[in-house]
Amino acid sequence: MAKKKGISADTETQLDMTPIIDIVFNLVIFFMVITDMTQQDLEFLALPKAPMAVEDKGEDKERLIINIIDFAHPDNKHRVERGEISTQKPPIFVDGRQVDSLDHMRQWLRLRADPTRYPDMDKPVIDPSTGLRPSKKPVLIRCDQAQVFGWVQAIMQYCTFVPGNKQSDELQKSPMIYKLEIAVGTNKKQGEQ
Amino acid sequence: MGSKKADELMKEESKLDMTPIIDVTFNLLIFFMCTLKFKTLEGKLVSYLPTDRGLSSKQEDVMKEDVEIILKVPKSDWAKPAIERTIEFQRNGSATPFGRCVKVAVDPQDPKKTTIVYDPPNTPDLIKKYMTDVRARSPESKAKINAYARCPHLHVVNILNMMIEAEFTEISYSGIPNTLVKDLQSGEIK
Repeated sequence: MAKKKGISADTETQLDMTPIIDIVFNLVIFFMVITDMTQQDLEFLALPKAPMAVEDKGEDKERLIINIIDFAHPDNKHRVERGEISTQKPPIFVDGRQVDSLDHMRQWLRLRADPTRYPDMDKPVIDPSTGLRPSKKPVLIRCDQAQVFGWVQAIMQYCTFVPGNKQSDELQKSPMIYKLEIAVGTNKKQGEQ
Repeated sequence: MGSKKADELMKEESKLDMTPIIDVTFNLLIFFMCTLKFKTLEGKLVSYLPTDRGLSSKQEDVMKEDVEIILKVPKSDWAKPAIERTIEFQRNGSATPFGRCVKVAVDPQDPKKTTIVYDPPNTPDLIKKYMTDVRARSPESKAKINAYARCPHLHVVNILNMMIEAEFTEISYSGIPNTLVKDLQSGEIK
């Protein structure tokens, strides 16, 4: 009798771990696949809604993205308290980092938008009417709906020519970006036309 | 007797300790679950900046039949948080505004959900009607957004959306002088 009891206790303690390991591995693979690491340069923002917007497929991984955050947003207030972001600098983020000034942002744009860097272009295209070499790259401006429009206006000017500055200096500094995309929120769900 | 011992030894050696791999896998699972951000669908409004040398040089090009919407912020509201400012919508050449935005109600639970209160309530319809009327009279007309630097981005996008809805293909924006850029950088404008 005592022997029988011992046998039954042994069989009860055995636990087959195979199904749980299978499930966990499947979950890990699922999360690895759907986690989009390429969108690290997108800040969390409340974008204004625009029903006429075209869907942003984000196919061009090399496109230039400028984020303008709102310091008053509760998430950003915490980031300011933790010292991650500074209210003394512009609320502009590129490549996940806050820029020191608009000139700093312009240098980054100029470096990334240099038309001579395009492998598909044998030589830079020159606009005959202006004699300029405009960049083919668009810039996507993601601005929080509660932020002032002045920052977008300033970025537009820093993409092209800053009024009042010397033209010879501007030709050296301007990224010459003329295609602008303003990011907006849509009410559409994925796959909806 | 000897073969029994060898069998037991074999059995012991063939046991695989799964504990570390389960630990690692669970940690990975927790990491991915915590870092996961579901991709929200975003849209974009595309426009082209003028390819001239400087934004101010085309000021005089605005024709009488072109649409220019001015978004004004009263000086008394400059100290308020941007989203709480009253915005006056006006068209170029008219002193009478279409109306005002008096309140933007942001859902505290979800900042993406906003309700805009206009005075009079049909202000957006009046702006849309004006745009479509101009467009019907002169299909070649252009549109321009002349917004104060202190105006919230939300209202500019709303006007831009209306212009696209009215089928304007050439849309431009007013620039800001260097003094305002300096005020932005110094925190004077916020």
